[in-house]
Amino acid sequence: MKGNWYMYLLILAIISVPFASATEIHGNFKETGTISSDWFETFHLNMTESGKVLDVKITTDKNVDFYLLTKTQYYDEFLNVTSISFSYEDARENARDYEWRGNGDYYLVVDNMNYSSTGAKCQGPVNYTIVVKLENKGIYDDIVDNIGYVLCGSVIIVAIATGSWLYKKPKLEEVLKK
Amino acid sequence: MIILFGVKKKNFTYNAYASRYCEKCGRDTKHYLFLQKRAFSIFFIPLIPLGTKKYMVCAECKNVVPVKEFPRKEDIEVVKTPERKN
Ligand SMILES: [Zn+2]
Repeated sequence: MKGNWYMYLLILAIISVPFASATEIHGNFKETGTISSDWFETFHLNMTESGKVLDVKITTDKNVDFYLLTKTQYYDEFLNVTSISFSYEDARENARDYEWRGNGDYYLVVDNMNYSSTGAKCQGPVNYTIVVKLENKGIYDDIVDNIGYVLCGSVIIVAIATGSWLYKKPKLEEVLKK
Repeated sequence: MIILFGVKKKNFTYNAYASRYCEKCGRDTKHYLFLQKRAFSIFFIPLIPLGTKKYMVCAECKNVVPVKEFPRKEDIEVVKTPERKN
């Protein structure tokens, strides 16, 4: 019976990891908190409003690792106790500042564990401040989002201009010596 | 991916003649004005104009001579016939 107790504790410890809760962020948000030693904090950045972007700034008082993950990368790889590695969209090792701008559905993990061998070593509890601003998309963001269309449009305009120059016969008076 | 690039050329001739010495014929002959426009192209689509080149072509032997400038209007004889095909 006593042996079973340890088994229950172990199972509980394993299944509790995937239920590590993520702070849901959909818009303007500000929070200050502490991450215990050998633990991590997750912020779920979910942008649903079109035409807006999330401007995320997060700072910590000690070196930590930041990971930007997709839903699959977060649940199937990062939280998966059986996986030995995980992939990510972006990572900053030993960083104390993280700025991220964009939309979509991402999980921002502040890692105060010794999860990655090259990353920051845990130096005790970490205090963090996260500020998220929901901002209107600027013309720059629109251009970046539509870079393919902008490029195609530019090529078509340049091709029409160059083509009409190339195939237009200049009048005789225009080419003669003045 | 293969990127096809090259120089696209478009030739124009004028029914305008000027008399000048032809080295091939060894005498003064009629030369007509010939203009070539060139553009850098990718996949046969002209994208960057590369400029215009001027030539004078001997009407007798078709010898092509590049020139910096065409003659003045008063030194040109314009012939009213259908323009030659390129
Ligand atoms: Zn000749």
